[in-house]
Amino acid sequence: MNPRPLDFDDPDRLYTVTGGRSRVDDDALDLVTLVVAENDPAPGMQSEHVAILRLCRHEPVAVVELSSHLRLPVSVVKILLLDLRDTGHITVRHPTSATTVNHPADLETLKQVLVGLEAL
Amino acid sequence: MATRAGRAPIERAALERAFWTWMITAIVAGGALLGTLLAVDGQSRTLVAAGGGAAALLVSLAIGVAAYQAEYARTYRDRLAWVENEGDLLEHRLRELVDGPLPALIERLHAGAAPDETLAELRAVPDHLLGRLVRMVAEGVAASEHGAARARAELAALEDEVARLADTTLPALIDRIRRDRVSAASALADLPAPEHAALERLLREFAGNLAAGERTRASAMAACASAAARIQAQTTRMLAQLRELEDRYNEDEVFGDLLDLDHHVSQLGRLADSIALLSGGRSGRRWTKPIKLESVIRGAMGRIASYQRVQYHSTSTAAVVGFAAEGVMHALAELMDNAANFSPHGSAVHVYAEEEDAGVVVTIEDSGLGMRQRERERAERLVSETADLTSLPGTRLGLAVVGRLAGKHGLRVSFRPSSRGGIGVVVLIPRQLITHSATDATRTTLAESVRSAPRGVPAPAREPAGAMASAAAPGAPDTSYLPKRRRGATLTGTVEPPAAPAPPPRDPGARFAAFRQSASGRHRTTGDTASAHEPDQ
Repeated sequence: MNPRPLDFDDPDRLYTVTGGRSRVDDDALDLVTLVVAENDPAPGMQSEHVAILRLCRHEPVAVVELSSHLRLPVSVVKILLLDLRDTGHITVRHPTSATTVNHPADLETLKQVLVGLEAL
Repeated sequence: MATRAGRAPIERAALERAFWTWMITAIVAGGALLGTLLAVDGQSRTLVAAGGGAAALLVSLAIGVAAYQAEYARTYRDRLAWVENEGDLLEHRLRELVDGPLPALIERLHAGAAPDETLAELRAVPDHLLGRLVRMVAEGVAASEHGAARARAELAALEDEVARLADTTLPALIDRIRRDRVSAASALADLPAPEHAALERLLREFAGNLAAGERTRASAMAACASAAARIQAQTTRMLAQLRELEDRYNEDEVFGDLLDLDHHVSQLGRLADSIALLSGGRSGRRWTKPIKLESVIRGAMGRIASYQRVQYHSTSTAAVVGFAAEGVMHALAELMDNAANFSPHGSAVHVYAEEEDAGVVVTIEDSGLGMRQRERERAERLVSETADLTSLPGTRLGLAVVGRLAGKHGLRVSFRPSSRGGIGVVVLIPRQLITHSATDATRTTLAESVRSAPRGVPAPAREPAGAMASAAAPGAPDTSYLPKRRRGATLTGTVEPPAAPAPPPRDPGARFAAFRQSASGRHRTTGDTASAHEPDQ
């Protein structure tokens, strides 16, 4: 027999991680959506769920960063996150504060706010 | 003959006696006639002399004949009496012989005594003829006895030879040819050849046929194993490439199709693994680190058609040591496939894993029709023996494969009725295949995984919860780089650098940089995003 190459991967296939789902129809998540864990992992949870909850326990973590930590494609991470969100284990929010700084459209908003304030 | 020889003297004696009787009678009659002649006168004397002489002659003749006859009869009476006496004597002796020593004599001869000795011991037979008769009988019996004894000895020798052939030589020959794979000629040379020519021919013929059959079998198995190995290599390569494509196109429409394809190739890989195992080959993959039980179960699920029906329940954090992980996965896959195939289409197959003292018990329960007693016994038999392609029960390979794997890794598989209505298959993964040092896949670098799991040696067990927690703690030493390798490269035979250039630990700012990078990537195309999230590529 030929010597087999060694496998350094995990034997999990992506469809077993997602339970066969491949698409998210929810627009709530994108790459930079920040994820915060609401509670600690419960025993018997899927290991990816546990890992996500541990990673997001102390600080908000972006979807893309979770993807990098878990070594899973973003779409798969999104499916996992939606499961967690639907069961109330995590909350998600958009990093609006981080992106407004360089955004020209937000300057307009700020000006309008300033005008509004002055009008008070 | 004696009678005929004795007739002449008998007749002569009778004649002698008759003659003397006649002589005496004639003298007496002559005297009486003389007296009468003296008494009568001269005239009638002539007449009287003539008449008297004639009468005297006749009387004397008659008396002589009567005397002859009487003597003759008397002699024959005596003779008859003697003959009768002789006959009685002979009959008596014969009877004595037949009733007495003859049966004993024959018995002794049957028992193997030499005829001369036996005859010497026998009381001397007075009669010459009887003696010869007895001798002839004795010699005849002895000769036939000798022949029979020789035939018996030859038969016994032949029987011994055949028995030795059947009990010793043939098993040894079969063993040599089957197990030691030696040729028929050299196997025969090592064994004592039967003396009987026909038996030797038989043995030679048998050995030749057996060796030929064995060669055919071995080459068929080797061909099977080698073909299966190629399919295994191809499927492993395809799976690696598919994973690469899945990573690249994970947000495209094609992602679902890729997953489908991945699923089909995984099933194909299991089939190839089954054929390889049954034909004496090896599993398609080897894992270099302990594999978490959850991954083992999911790896098994991923190889069956209706994996979505499988529900896994476990809180165990145990892991299966790397060298056995593939076998356990494969065995579980076959059992799950059986469970899914033999239960209603929409029903769930439940998989439970619990840690016990003896190891980890994985239970696969379905809600199908269950098995009858005979089916269950047959299944138990199949999984407890290591069958190969030449002794397969039929077209269904699954349980035979499980049997092979169970034998290889010491798994214990048993079947029992399930409380859900179907069958519960209980698989015990023995303790020596279980470890708790599984490193969390999400936090492990390639280098670490190689170091922590030397092949074949279970890593020292650690506190499971602690291992888990420390491995997954967010602030843990930064290993969040992507240990990228070219997935296809595992199969090219070129050595993949396992611990290849260890990535520099990321500084705390790196995470933020990644975040910024991805944040700005929001406005990029998908392709750019992918490359952003896989910086090494």
